[in-house]
Amino acid sequence: METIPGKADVVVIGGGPAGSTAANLLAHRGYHVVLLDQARHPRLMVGESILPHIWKYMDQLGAAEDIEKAGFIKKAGGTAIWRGVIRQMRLADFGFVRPSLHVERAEFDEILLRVAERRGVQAFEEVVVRQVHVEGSEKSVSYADRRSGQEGRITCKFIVDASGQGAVIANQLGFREFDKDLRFMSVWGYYENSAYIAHGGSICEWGKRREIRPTTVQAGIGDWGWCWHIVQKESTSVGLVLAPAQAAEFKSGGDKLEERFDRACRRIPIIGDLLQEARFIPGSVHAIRDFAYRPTQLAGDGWFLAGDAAAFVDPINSAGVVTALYTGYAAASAVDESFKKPASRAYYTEVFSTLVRQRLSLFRISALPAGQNSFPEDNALALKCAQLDSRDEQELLFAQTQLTDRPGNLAPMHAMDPRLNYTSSTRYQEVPALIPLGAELQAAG
Amino acid sequence: MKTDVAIVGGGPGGTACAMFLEQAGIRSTIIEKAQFPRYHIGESMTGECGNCLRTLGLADEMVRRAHPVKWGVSVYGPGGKNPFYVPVKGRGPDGLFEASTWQVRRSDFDRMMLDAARSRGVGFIHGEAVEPLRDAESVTGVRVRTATGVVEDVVSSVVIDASGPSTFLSRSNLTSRKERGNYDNQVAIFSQVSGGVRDAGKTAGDTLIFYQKKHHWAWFIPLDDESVSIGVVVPTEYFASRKESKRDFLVRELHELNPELKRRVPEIRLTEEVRAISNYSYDTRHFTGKGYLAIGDSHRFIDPVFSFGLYFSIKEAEHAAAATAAYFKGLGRDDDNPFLGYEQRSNAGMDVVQELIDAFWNQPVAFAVMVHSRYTEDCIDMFAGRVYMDEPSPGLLAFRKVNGRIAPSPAIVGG
Repeated sequence: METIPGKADVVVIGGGPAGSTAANLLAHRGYHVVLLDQARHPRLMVGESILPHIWKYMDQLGAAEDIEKAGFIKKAGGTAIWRGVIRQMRLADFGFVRPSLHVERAEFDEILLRVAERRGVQAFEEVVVRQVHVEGSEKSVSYADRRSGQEGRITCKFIVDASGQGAVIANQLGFREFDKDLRFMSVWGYYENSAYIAHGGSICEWGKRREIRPTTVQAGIGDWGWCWHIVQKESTSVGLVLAPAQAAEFKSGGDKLEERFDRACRRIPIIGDLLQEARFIPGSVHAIRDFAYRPTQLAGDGWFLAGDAAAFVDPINSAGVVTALYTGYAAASAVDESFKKPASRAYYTEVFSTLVRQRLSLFRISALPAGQNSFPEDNALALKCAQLDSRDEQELLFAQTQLTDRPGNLAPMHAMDPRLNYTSSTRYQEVPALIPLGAELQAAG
Repeated sequence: MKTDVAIVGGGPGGTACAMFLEQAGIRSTIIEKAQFPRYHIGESMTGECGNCLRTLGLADEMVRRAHPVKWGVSVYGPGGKNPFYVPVKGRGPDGLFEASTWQVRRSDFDRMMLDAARSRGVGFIHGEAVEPLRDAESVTGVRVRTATGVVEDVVSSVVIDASGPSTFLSRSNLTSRKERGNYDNQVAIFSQVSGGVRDAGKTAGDTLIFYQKKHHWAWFIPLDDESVSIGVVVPTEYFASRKESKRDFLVRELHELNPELKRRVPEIRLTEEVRAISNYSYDTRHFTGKGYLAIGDSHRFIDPVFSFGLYFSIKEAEHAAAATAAYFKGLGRDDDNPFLGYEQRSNAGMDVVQELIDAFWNQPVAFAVMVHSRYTEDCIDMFAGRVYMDEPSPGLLAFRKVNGRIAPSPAIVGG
């Protein structure tokens, strides 16, 4: 067993996509990077629908080939069933040449971690970070090694906290603020042999998933709660994102969680149809608290937050992994620049905070239940980020908000800058009705 | 979900109301059960109806869509000769002026309205309004079953019923009972034909009405260069006594009802399914209250003869939006019924049209005299939809007199 060094240039907390990205880029630039993760990979994770934006990061991480080889399911786009209206969009229509994916996160995240190791990161799994020490010029991280039971401390110049919802630094320094506009709970599980929805509105059988690309399905279940349906290599992930009242009702059911979950999924219109021939996989149900939070601080002298450790919003726009990659990349850049120009480290910390806060605000606003923004000041922040997006990127975000019936979310930004491409899109369609499974066969036969 | 105003029905009344509300800065959500485009009857606009669309900024779009332009309506008597003509005219500070309005194919027009509303940020739910949500003193929203089967509560400060003949509020027992209207024992049988003979020139897009006898008449409304909406309205008993299919009945009537109509439709090439509606005349009172109000034929429908249906839906949408905007500013917050003023105004307007139609059916000779010579300008105003009067016009008073609703006064007798 390799021993954990007592000293490093950078300590990265967490081996998910944000941590692996930051660690990978810094190690590749020659810094000594130690990464600590409390879990042993592969490990369970939710957030399986991934936008095609990931590829520009995969290229820089040297991970593109590994991801391609993994054979993840390529998706066509999205189907949203919201307030009785079925809408679809295809990511290829927004200029993306490379596919968006449905990934088993355990596998996807492990690939990124192993690639990071290949590029020189010293990664240690099953090591829990107890505390960070960020006062003074020398930083350090105290840990407990679950393999040996030993405790230790690594001194370093910089800490990147990518510890996910555990949010080590934000919790320790006490500045995590829960977002009252987004207080959901997610319960999810896996099915074998589920039918799925293709672009164009046809329902397809499970066996066709590599021939006819599936769409990610998001079905509203009232009160801004919703259900996801994500076809993967060997199973289909189905999840319920429940609003507070729905969560309370769900928790109060008498029988086993699994039975309640399976019954609830099968009762959802359309999702229930897709699951008609599907088998629920016993033992596959998990639940997490999906309370969104926003940190009041994203970085300080010698430390940066990335991924879910920085902020978490409702997963409605499949932006979680892309945000993790972006914030990991931004943290690596800020650390690199600070090493190169130590006199300007305060400046790079500020730049990081500003850019990340703007990007997070945009993601948050686009995901809000329509018209429920308790932080209207976020609009001005998000605007700065939106203005840097391409016309296509702006239209994509608008189309995403259209799909799940929250177009008004972007309106305040558009009012501030009418040049934003936030008013219409012809790149999504309303589908009058889905074409049932076997409809073509019946017509032909 | 929450919205300021929930609107039941995505037809022209609902969509116009949503757009008038949007102009006042109020957010609304439309609940519509049908998949648009869908067929609908009621294709002709009054002059003031066209003005409502201009107020909504839709005039350019109406022109672009090349809807037939309507300059007036000709009403032919039983012999098919000497029609009386009521031009669409506007009224300005200097009196009446030349004006026109439109005829619309409702499947196209209604869809345009819904698209326009949605593109202006109005919320939309494809689904059916199941029932109003209520607390002890007020209506607080609508329970909806979406087209895909999810039941969702739409919580709103005001519910506007624009559901048309399905009369959502009345069905939910919020209004007083739905009473049969004056023209209830009637059936309308209608379709579209291609290639009807129109007037030459400017009036090619006009509405033609063919009168046979009391409660037995037909309409001819151009919908585009090719198609004409045609329909006959007859007493239900007469239709039943003929023992014909709707299609056979319509085809025969088109050639028997009036010689001028036969000349206008020499060959009957039907391009739409033949449809029929009966018992379409109704009236509900007390259609407003704390948290709710109804517009257009969601509370009352009189008679289709002078094409007021579409107008009332859209005009009352405008009035309802104004009343709602005032309510949001605090007006009538503590009243038992903050929308009583709106209700009274709506009733007053529809009562004027009721006078017009009653006089037409019951006193055709007196009616013709008044339209032609005695109160021509007042009649033009009423036909155009200028029926929301502070003081009754002399023409209206004359109709009331003819209908026996007021005693003759010296001024009118002498006039």
